[in-house]
Amino acid sequence: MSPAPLIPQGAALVAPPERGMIITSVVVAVLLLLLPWGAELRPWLPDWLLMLLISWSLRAPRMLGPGHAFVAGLLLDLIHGTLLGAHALAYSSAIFAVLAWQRRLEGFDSRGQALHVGPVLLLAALLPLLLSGLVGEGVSDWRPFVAGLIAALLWAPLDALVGLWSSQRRGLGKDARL
Amino acid sequence: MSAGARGPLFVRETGLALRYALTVILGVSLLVMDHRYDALGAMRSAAAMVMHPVQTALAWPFERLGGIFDFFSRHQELINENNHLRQEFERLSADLQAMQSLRHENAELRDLLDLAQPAGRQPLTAAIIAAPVDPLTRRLVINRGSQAGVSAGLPVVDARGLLGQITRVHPFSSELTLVVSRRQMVPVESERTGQRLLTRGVGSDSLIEIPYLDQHSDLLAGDVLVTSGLDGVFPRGIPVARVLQVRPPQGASPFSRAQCAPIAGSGLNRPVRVLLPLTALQPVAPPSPEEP
Repeated sequence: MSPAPLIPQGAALVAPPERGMIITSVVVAVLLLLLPWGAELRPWLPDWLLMLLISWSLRAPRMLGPGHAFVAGLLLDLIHGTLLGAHALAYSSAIFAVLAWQRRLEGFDSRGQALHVGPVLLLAALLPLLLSGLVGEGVSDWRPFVAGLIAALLWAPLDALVGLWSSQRRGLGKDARL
Repeated sequence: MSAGARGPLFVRETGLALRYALTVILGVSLLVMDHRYDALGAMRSAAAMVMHPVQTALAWPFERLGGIFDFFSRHQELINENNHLRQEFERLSADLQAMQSLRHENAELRDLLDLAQPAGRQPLTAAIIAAPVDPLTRRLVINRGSQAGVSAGLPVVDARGLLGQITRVHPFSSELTLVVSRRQMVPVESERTGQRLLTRGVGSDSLIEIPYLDQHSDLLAGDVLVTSGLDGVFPRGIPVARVLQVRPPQGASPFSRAQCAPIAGSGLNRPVRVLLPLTALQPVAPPSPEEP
């Protein structure tokens, strides 16, 4: 066996992340959601499930679509007991926005991507509130806004982690970036 | 998608926008179904059934951890709680003493009240069946009418005080006008001083006023006003209102005004009692041995 090439060759160069990794990370994110966060803490938590989905959809746009995001959002609705469909719509909208921009975002470095993804995360945090307000079950609460800001700030580190894991796992080395 | 390891060059798949539009349609219909028809309860409970064991399992280590911290903080907490409870106990036993004396006093007062109860009145319990919407006169419809012996003019009370007066009688229902309705006057007296007064409704459930009050009269906030019985309509001694504040004369008027809170729950849907005269129930019973 010759030593591994510096840059992945052939199919590995363009191969998207493995489906198993995406599923594993999403399952971990959902389990983290199910942890007994206190009632005081929960409204402040950034939406790491959506952050993760955005991260993966940038890396593997063919594997994750609005439909998957919709299912994940539905799961979140069930966990949080919000109106069914509120988070689902927010998730599918966010992933739609990211995928529609995916070609453009690929050209940016991590910070540039974060600047694009931040507003998406913020809007996605506010959309469930807006939707439940539209159907008349709204609450006026400013904490989701802060949670959205926190999510926007934390997305870049999370994305870096995902990138690191993804490239190490596939033996691409630290410098390879997808 | 079966064109080998590299995949087909051109894939016919649903476009991004279309897939997104599908999720939007699905999401909106879910929202509407969940909100308007509550149709997804089964889905929710199924999800809860699946998630609950996972949640319990995940919460378990945290509870353990919390238990360890509890053990260390327990001692100081117990000392504090013990002190607090001891103070609470002393305060409560003092309160209990006061309450026992109050109870005796109350029993005496109640005996007194029983003595002062208007004789010859028989309460008839009725339920409110309608509240006609009329901003000017506050009326209620109750489910007893002339068949039960109700006649126009009879006073109506609830468990706390005077509610109003029957103004219109139908066979099986009757209308009562509330004392809080606008311009409705009730002759009352102050329970503390016995001074005769006249209250007048202003159209609010929570306010009635004494419009013409001698500015030197001894009426204080907190005084209870009871019916004086001078009009021959309301029996004496039914609580009507509690004085909230007395206002000095304003402008050219020589009279003070007092604002009072009605004691009866005018806005509440509670059983009420019509005070029937005994003679209405037994028209010929007591005085008629010698009549034909």
